[in-house]
Amino acid sequence: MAGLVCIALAAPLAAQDYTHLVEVRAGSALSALAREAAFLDQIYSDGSPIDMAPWYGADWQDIQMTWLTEIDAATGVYWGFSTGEGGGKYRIDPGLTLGFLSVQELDEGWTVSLSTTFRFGGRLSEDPCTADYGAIGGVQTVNCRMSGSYLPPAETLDYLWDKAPEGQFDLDLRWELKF
Amino acid sequence: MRVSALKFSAAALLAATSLLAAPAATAVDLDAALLAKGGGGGGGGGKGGGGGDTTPTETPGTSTCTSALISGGVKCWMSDDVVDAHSAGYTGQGTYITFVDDFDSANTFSGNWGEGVKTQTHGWWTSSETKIVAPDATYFLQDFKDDVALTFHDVGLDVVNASYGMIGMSRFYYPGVLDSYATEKSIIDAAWGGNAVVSKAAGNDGIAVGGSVKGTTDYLGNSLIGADSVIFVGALDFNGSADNKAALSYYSNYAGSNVDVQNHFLVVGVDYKATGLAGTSFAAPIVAGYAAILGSKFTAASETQVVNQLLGTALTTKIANYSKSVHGMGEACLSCALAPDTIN
Repeated sequence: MAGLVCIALAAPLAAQDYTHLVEVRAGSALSALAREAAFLDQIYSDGSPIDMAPWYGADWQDIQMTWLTEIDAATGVYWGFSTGEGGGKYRIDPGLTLGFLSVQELDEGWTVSLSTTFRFGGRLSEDPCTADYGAIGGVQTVNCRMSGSYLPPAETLDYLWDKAPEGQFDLDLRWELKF
Repeated sequence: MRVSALKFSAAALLAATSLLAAPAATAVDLDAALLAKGGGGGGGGGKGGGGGDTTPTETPGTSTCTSALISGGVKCWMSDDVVDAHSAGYTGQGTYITFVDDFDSANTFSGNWGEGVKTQTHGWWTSSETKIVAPDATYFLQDFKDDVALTFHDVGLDVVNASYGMIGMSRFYYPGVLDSYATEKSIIDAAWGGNAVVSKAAGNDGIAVGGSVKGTTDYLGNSLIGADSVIFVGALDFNGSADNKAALSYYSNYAGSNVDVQNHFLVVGVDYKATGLAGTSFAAPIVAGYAAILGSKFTAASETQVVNQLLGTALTTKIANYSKSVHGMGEACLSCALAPDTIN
């Protein structure tokens, strides 16, 4: 995020150029986690593969967009949102981004910048599956990704995803020298 | 190599023998021991002696395993299921596995499960094999010269590994002939009563389970035919794949025409080339370990339910020229047995 500060500062300020799109990103670490699960080798008791794609594939990836609105030549506010994403058994909540940027020019070409951003929402959660193990185990609630594991089905529920997004709070302090 | 621990009954002379406790110093010795036992039945993977077998149409593959250990603890002779079980770190808790075998005699032989070459008795080999599969089960080791009834538990799955037979004259066999042998009677009663999963090595004479060779038969195996919670385990040459199918090892007893045996018969790979150990003695412990893993996942399951799950989820796709009269229900598939029938 701070790398894009230089681009913002370098652009000549016109009366109407107060807001800049500074980040567009598709996907995230949480998106990647879900995508990996879509390719897990889980099988049924007859040895045929379980198709994980309907549960862990998504029609679109979580898209994050962030803007910087200049308050004055030295300060700005970050704001943005993420769309979230979802498959049959998981969900990444939409999120909001808010932050603050301060840039100070020092002597002899040095610049120091401080930025902080907060992310709200964007959490990854997961729903369990209902599995029928037949006579040996009956119908049980189980983590879809672990239906064939060695763990008792009830214990697999402890591994259901409940994860915060990366970078819920970022603090960035930089010094730059132009020469 | 036969280990003779003599047990006498009023009706017959019985000899408890370890099933193929063959010294593995050289392949010739192993083969010589197998041939000396009168094995060879139908020969190779065809097993025509069982009757009703189809003409083989698939060429069996060969093991690609050249040593017991590859790297990082992965043991080449293991099936994928055993590899996964070994690395899972949560296998067999809350279950009990009893081995009745030779632990105390001077009859030792060498082999390698991938943990270095060792020389030990038949019982230490079979029990250590299961410990690789299900390390967290509770183990009981009983030497087969100790004529003591096994005890079982009210809570937790009980498994018995019987990699041995009670060989006697065929004409003297009758149901109940082993009633005066406390250990064997307790095993037989447990199998018929569903109180323990009994993983029984099928035998190494290349005959149908329940058959005779040179006028002798396995009284223990015969007594278990028809029991609810027994699994007879034969040996494949190696752990096959869809592209490299495995055949029944030439020495392994096979299911035969008896439907009770067919429906309670599984095969697993026993890779002599990698470990120096061969015989259905080393097939049964794998199934014993699988049963323990199932028991630790499905804690409310009965022994009979565990047996039925292993039998019902066996695969035939990695066996060359699969036939029920040879391979029974097929190759044990732990990952299949752990998996759901349906899920949504």
